[in-house]
This record gives sequence, C-alpha cells and structure tokens, in this order.
Amino acid sequence: MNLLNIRALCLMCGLLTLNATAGSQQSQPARFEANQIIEFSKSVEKFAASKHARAFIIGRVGQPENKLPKGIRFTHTAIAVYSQIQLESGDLANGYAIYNLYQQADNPKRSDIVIDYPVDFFWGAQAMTAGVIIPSQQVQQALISAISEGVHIELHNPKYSVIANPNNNKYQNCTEHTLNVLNAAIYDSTDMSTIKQTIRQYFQPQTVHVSGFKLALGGLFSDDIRTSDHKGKPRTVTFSTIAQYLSQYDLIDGAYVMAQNGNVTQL
Amino acid sequence: MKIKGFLLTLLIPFATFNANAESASDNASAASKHSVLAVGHGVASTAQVASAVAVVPLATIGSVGEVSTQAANGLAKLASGGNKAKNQAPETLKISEITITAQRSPKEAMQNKDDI
Repeated sequence: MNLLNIRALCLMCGLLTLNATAGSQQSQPARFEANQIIEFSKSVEKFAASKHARAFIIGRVGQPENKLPKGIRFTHTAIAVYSQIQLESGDLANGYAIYNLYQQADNPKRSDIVIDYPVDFFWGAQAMTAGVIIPSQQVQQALISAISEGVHIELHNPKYSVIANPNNNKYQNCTEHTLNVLNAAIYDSTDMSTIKQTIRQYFQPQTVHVSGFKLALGGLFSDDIRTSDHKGKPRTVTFSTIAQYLSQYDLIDGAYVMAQNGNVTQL
Repeated sequence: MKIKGFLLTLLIPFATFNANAESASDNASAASKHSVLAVGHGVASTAQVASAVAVVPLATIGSVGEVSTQAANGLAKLASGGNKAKNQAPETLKISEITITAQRSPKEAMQNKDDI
C-alpha cells in the first residue's frame, strides 16, 4: 500500500467516525427480530415507569457501537412523555409517546417533528441499547407542560446538521432540539435568544474530534454535515452532555443505560 | 495519472462510507415495519399491536392523581417553586402490554390498498 492509499484510508476512517454521529432518521430497516424489538421497547418503558418517570430523555444507538466516535454513545435523542394514548379501536392505553426531531427521508438537510412510540423508536436501531436520562420531578413537570403547549414545535428549526452548534440556531439536530426544549422548560421561555444565552453560559458541549479538513471534505459528500455554524473546533450536544448538564445543576434523578438482556447500568 | 489514482482511491471508499452510514430512509422501510407487525412475522402470538390515533401527556398534581396536562399546566407552573409534596409516595405508572406504533404514512396506507 502506497502513501496515498494510506492517507485516503485514514481520511475515510475519520469521516466514517464523523458520520457515526448521525442517527436521526425515522424509519430504518430492522436489524433485529420484531419480537426482540417489541420486548426491548416494552422493557425500556417499564423501567422508566418503575422510576416514576413521567418525562425522560431517551437515546438509541443508530450506528454500530464500535464505530461511534469518542465521547458519543447514542446517535438519536428525544423526549419521552408518559401519556394516555388512544388506539384505532378507540381503546385507551397508557405508555410513553416520544417527541422526535427526525431528518426527512428524502432530504437529510431538513427535519420534521414526529411523535412515535418505543417500538418505532428502536425499530432501526443498531443495538438493543437504550439511554434513559430521568430529570428531577420538577423538570419533568416543566417538560410536560412545555410539550403540551407545543414548545417542541415552536422551537423547531428544520435546517439540519449532524454536528449542529448548540450555541446558535443556524442548524439543529435531534439532540440540540432536545436541549432547547429542556432549557425552554427550565427557564419557562420560548425566546430562542434567551435559550441560546443560557446554553452558552451553562452547557458544556462535546468537541467533535475530526479535523477541519475532514469536516470540509465530509460536507462535500454528505448533505447533513454542515460546519458554517461553527468557529474553531466543532462542538455539539450529545446524550451524555445533556446528562452531565442536568447533573451539574442538580436537576437529575438518574441516568442509565439499558442493555438487551435487561441489565441496567449507570450512564 | 497520479492525481486520477489518488481521486479514485479517495472516492471508492466513499461508497463504503455511505453504505455504512445511517442513510436517510424512504417510506419503504417504514412500510416494512408496519407490514411485519401487521402480518405478525417474528411477533409472538400473545403480542397485540395497535396504531395510535391521539395522545395526551399525563401529568400529576400532588395527591389528586392523574389528569391531562391541559388541566395540569397552570398548576404545574404554580408548583415550579419546588414545594410539591415530596413526602408522598410516587404512584405506580402503568404501562399497557399493547405494542403501540405510530400511524402508517399516507404512502404506505395507499400501498396496502387492493388494486381497484
């Protein structure tokens, strides 16, 4: 292998790692048996319910775990709210509804706000692994109020970037949208400038460990990698940095990772 | 030639890159989910699957019990001072055994209709 091949290979490895942060697609082909997904989804719901979580942050793994870049454990994040759900039959059922920002299927540069349910959420996951961040009861109530008032829709910016900068609102990804809604609930404000000011002041984003050259080249080949909202090293919101943020300000009841076998560990 | 070789080396792995990335899906993959669940492939016979048509977040207010958030909003804000009854045992949250899914897309709904 000559020097150029080696350089190209290194470049590709870096870009693969970069795009592993993606994962906001709504409907991916299932990689597990339907029964496994159903059982796992239900076990996540029951775990959250056992912790009395009326609203929690939920994460899934949308890329092979061995390809996830440093500091990133989950590729899609959303807000789950304990709800009464009316079924087609007219019957009512209790469970969690999930409020997502998903990339559009035919235009990855744009996103939609979509409500789905745990089995939908985990359908295309690469691993039956769930992240569960349970905010304090007070934050949960504020989140439920925000969701029921449509704050998640009001704060949606459909311009999508995998590595959106949380310090401004030029682009958004699923995790930044979750953080925006969380801060809107905490500060009882839907004013985006207020939300961004509080994020800049109190939230520590995750540095994306990919060089500027690789990011620039990645942007040429992937519509959902955009860097013009960053100055210097790109930094973005992750599931884990949201947990750290809530923990730092004593606004968390717990943060967990649930494995397919039902084992639950601390995040 | 060297430049061409380099570009080729550069581009070929991108095919792999894109194949590995979580590509934006189309409605076909969504359709497969609903189809699998509807037909029951790989689904235990005991699993009941149903689509949701409406959802209301459930909030709690002290000992009153569950109420819909439309009613709870104001009171939840009043409770934002943090004086919620902390000494009350939290109530059990029931989870339905029904597997609930989002409604199928209009495209899939039409795909499933018999040809007229």
